[in-house]
Amino acid sequence: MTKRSGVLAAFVAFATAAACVGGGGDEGADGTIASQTGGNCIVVDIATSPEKIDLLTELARDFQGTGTEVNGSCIQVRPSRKSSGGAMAALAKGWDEAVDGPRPVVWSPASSAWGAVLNQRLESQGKPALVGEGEPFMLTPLVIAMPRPMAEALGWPDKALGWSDILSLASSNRGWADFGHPEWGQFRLGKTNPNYSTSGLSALIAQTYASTGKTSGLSAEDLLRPETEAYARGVESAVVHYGDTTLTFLNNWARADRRGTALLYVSAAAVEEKSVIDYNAGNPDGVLDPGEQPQKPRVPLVAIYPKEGTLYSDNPFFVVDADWVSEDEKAAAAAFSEFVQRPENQEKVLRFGFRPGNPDVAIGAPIVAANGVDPTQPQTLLDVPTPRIMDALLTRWDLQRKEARVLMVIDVSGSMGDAAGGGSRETKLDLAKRAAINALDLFKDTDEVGLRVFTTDPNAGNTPVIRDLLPIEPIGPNKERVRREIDALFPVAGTPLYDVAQQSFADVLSGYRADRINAVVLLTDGRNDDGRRDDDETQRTTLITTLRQATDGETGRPVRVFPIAYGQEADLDTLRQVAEATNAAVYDAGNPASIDAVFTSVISNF
Amino acid sequence: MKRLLALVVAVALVVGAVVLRSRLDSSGGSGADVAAGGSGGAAGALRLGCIEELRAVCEALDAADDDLTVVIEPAGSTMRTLTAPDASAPIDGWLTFAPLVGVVAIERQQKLLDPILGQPEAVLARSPLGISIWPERADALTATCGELTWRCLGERAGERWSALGGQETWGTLRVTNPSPVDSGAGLLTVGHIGVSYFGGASFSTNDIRGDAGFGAFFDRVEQLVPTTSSPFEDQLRFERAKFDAVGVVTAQAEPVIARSRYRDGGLRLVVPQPAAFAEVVLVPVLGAPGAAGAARARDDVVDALVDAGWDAVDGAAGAPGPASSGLPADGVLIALRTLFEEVIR
Repeated sequence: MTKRSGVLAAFVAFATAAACVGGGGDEGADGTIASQTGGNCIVVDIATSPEKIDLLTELARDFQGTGTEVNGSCIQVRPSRKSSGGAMAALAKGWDEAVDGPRPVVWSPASSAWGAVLNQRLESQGKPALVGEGEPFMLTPLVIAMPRPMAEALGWPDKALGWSDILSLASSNRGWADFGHPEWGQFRLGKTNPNYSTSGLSALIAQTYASTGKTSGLSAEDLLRPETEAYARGVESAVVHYGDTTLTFLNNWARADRRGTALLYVSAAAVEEKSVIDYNAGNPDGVLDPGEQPQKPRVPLVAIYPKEGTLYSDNPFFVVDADWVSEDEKAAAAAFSEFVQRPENQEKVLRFGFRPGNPDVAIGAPIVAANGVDPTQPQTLLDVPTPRIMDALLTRWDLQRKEARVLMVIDVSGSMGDAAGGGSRETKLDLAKRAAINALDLFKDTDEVGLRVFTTDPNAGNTPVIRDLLPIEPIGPNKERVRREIDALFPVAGTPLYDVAQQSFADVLSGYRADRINAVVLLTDGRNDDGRRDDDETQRTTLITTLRQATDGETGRPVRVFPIAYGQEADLDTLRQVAEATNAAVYDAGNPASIDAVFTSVISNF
Repeated sequence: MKRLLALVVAVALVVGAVVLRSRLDSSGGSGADVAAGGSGGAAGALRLGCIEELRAVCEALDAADDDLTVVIEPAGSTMRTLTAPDASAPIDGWLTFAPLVGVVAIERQQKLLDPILGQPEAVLARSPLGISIWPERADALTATCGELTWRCLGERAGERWSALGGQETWGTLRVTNPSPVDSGAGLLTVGHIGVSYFGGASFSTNDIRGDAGFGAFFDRVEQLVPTTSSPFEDQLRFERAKFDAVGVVTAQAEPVIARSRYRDGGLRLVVPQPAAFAEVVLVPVLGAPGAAGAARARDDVVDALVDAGWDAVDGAAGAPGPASSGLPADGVLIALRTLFEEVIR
């Protein structure tokens, strides 16, 4: 409680006088008002998971309007986007502002589970915990999203479904034929990488609990049981690819839906309830770009709340207990936390498809059955495992996840020899090589990785040169060889982008393995340049058409092409079309300095 | 010129504010600038420790009295401070549940320490201990057990609802109570659970340890579904997904439910039999500079308790104890708390 005092009265008087005569604050030498964007205010930097950046920005603006102060200082709240896993990793490493952005006073990942993972990582380094209990800001449960016809084929809504049903489907050679729909092919699952994605982490926890029959107290012994191992491998065997965000699945699903092939892309995906609402509203990634009009899907999704139990993404507010956070900043953070919990602000989270964290606020639209979700669910909440068990889960997942078969294709055109910029003396190829070498450690030894480079031969009329430095083989025994080959790359001449994309796709398809994620990672900094301009448009059209036709026959053999648009001159538009045609995702490394992080994101798909 | 004018006006306003303030102070207006948790202790000032369950009461007291500083913290934290060999609690009085005073006294005695708290003279207010439960689940259990009691809940904890008259989709019966190590309500609730099992409050520590059936029963209640730091809040926030039934203090739970999304019968408070009560007392910290103020604050505290939904107590009711609370002796509560720690380890 604030008590009145002579000192405070004097301060108010002084401020009032200044406001009446001179303007809103101290006048600077040039007559301008002192900046309210941090200059005299306590700044509360918030590292927030991306899905709530718009909401938090709006709330921060509203909060500023209240004039709340701490010890006489105004407060400025600055939310910035940071993936939950990315922020966790940054905090575990001590947070490098040059790479990670402003050091946060508040960290709001999508789930409290990330706090447990962080504290465990710190403990293993002999460091103290950085976060305690965070108050849930808004909630959304993890669900298994499924096209309505498929869910109905399994007995939804009358029959309770869950991970055991997913396992049965994943384990069946007959796929959907077991349910009277051979035309849907094999069961395919979309599931993100739990090292980076909250949905992926929650799904991993939930499927593990399901394998034990427990809802709390997951133990190290549970993880070592052969049944748990078999269950995990069974579920993972159906995954089409991983990735660091569920939005890839949702956007690809929406595109497939527009082509009438939604049932052939994936059969189910582990996503947040909020994403089902967004998807069914015609906004699959939850963000409407300027000019974008929502287009409702032909085949809506329904949310299956796993009968074995699930977890909430509870979006906690963690006040970071670090030496860079002052007592004033902690008090300011607490004030903002109290503000967002107020009923009038909690009403806003509903607009974004989340359930209010404040139980004083009723759950209502859009969390209604008409949107494919059920406000009376979930009926069983799973306990977040201990930090030690979380760490063990992630370690075991690295072994249990579906293996990959990847052809890495790297552009060695002349422009890759250009300076990377930003004051660096290194070339774009230098940075790309280092990032690719670092990325090798993200594969497991049994993943199969090949290396291909492409350019043109200036001495032969700029004919395309597509050279395999290493065939697709298990990376384990070959890691050093791959490293050396990458390290030896040097820039040459042109960029036969269309040729290499088509050929690489065809080559991976020819050696397709159903028990693996088959993919091409294609890095290029330029546009198609094979010495002939007159056929570029035809080549491009043929490429996209070929990729799409081979992919739309999804009952066959999907090969995903993950392009990396490197630098400002890369043909991002074409690369995006290539990715979309193969139901993958394009990665934008427009700033060459970001290539390391981008490679990490790309490899998170495996 | 503009700046000079601003400065003159500012100085005039400052001087005026200080003069006005001085006049207010000399006429008896509050003058102490004491923040919550500050050193206080000056003549006329009272530093009142409050358990978390009485937060609403203590915040109201704090708002109404500039001479009062409240220190609100979990009961377990205060008890650990008060039972430490070098205890120097920054409070003059403690507003708490009666048995906690007895527990502190026993634990200090066991450590050969002098008493630190005065004896509670009378119960200021009381409220029944209850169970917060979803209505349809209460109905199913009542039909199964005949009456909803802790014994009913404990004996069936962990069973599938489909075998208890409920629906398969409800999963298993999940029962919890706050931790008796950290929470005052938790300590009273484990006592109430024991009362339900033994059919009365006169059971002893030997009964707890010697009755194998009680051990298994208590195990089911406390271990099957781990509690959380705020189980009632979690029940409200996560609805039926988290807990089916949570032990609460009725006066604490009623206003929370009344303003929540469950206000129209969405969540039910049951007072299981045999009834037991949380009895609120105000005790001085012996030797604290403002301890005398604790007694003087009694009437204001009673008013604040009643305003917050606690039941007033007839002044002739006398000192608190098992006869009035329906709970076992303080030493038995300590034994139950110890058993809880063993069960959840």
